[in-house]
Parts: sequence; C-alpha cells; structure tokens
Amino acid sequence: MFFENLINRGSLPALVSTAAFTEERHRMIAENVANIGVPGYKTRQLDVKAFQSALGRALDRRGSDPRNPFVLEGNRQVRTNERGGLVVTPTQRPVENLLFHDGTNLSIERQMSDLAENAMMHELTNTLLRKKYDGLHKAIRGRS
Amino acid sequence: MYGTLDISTSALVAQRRQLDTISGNIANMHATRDANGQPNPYRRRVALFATGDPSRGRGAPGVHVARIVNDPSPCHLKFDPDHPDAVMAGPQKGYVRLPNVDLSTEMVNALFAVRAYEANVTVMEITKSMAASDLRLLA
Repeated sequence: MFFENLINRGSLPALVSTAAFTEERHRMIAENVANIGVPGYKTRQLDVKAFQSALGRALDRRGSDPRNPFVLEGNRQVRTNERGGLVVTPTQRPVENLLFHDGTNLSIERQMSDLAENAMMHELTNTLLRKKYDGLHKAIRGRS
Repeated sequence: MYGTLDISTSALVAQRRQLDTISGNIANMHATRDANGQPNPYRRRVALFATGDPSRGRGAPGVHVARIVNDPSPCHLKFDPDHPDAVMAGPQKGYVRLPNVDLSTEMVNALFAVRAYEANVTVMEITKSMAASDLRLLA
C-alpha cells in the first residue's frame, strides 16, 4: 500500500507509460523498415501527439494527490489493458500525394529519422526513470 | 524488444535471398544451355516479397520471400551465326537466344537490396542499445 503510493507519485507512471509507448513505436518502425520494397505495403504510424495529450490529460486528472490512480484514457491508437499494460494499435499512414506504382507509400528517410528520434525519446525516458529510482534508493538506504 | 529483433532478422533473411537471386541472375547472364546441356537459355529469377513472417507462425510481423518466379519476358537475341547454340532454322536463323538478364537492372536491384539490408542492421543496432538501456534500469 505504502509502496504503491511511493511509486505512483510524481512523474513515475507517466515515465513508465512513455517508455512502453516508445518501445511499441520502435517495434512498429522496425516493421515498416523490414517491409521496404514489399508491393502494396502501407506504412503504419502511431500518433505521438495523441499519446502525449492523453498522457497530459491523465496527469491533470490525477492531480497532485498520489492516491488518485493514474489512468491513461484510451484513444484510437493507445489504450491501457486490464493489467495496466499499454496496448497500441498502429493505423495506416494516409496516402500522400506521391504513391509509387507498386502501391506502397513508404519513405525510408522519414522512417529512419523517426527511428532516431524515438530512440532518443526512449533514452531520455530511461535516464529520467533511473534518476527517480536512484532517488528512491537513496531514501531507502538513508544515505547517498 | 526481442520480438523487434525477430522482425529485423526476417528482413535480413529476405534481403539476403533477394541478393542470392540477383547474383544467380548475374552469374548466369550468358548461360545459353540448361543444367542438362541442352540449348535452353537461363531465365531471370525474381524474388517476390510479402509482408508477415510465416516461419514464426501465422500473422507474425516481418517480411519474407513468398516465391521465386521465372521472369516470362522474351530472351535477348544476338546475331552470331557461328555460335554453336545459334538457331538453325526459322525467322530467328543465325541468332543466339541469350538469357533475359539485364545487367543494369540487376545492379540497381542489388544496390537497393544492400541499402535495405543496411537499414535493417541499423534498426537492430538501435534495438540493442534500447534494450541495454532498459536493462540498466535494473542495475
């Protein structure tokens, strides 16, 4: 009970959700890159902005009281399952003005830049999480 | 994370098969006879990609080479009446039937396959560094 309180406060649940999201997004980008040159493959995408606004709303709803649960409301692409895990369902990227004659709309440059950006986001989230856990560790041990 | 590595691996395997097909085409670009020694020019082979990775079960994400098919386009003809495999009679008399392999097409496809292979290796490297960063959370 007490410990749940401890790890549910502050930014920890948001960081955990973000790490889960970046991991799923990385998997989706890996799938997009794997399917370069497959006729008829439609690029998948996850909306980062939609996830961030859902995250923002979840933080607002919880407020400053750590006893309130942190609930990430679902949208079309992101939802929380009954065990509190993050489930994502990528959608197809809408067709832009350029469509290749084999029916794909994959732009490898965009995928690679998304890949790098997403990996940096993951690294940032993990660094912040590590700092948080280090803080808890120090508090538990009672010395630095 | 480990599932992500499998996705990239399936792509590496598929691109490797594509490269194997291309090298087979280039190696045989002058083969006018088949494996039995009969005058029957080699036909260019094409690897057909499809999404999904059936080697890891139905609906597994990834990519695979669905089939390798022969290119049905007509053979190249070269006028060379002294060639032992030149056509003896008919409207193509004196022409040698050469494989329908075009070197520049094969080279462009090979470049594409190598680039795709590299892109997937990059994805794997990033997957590994992300997994390492996840594991450092435990330490």
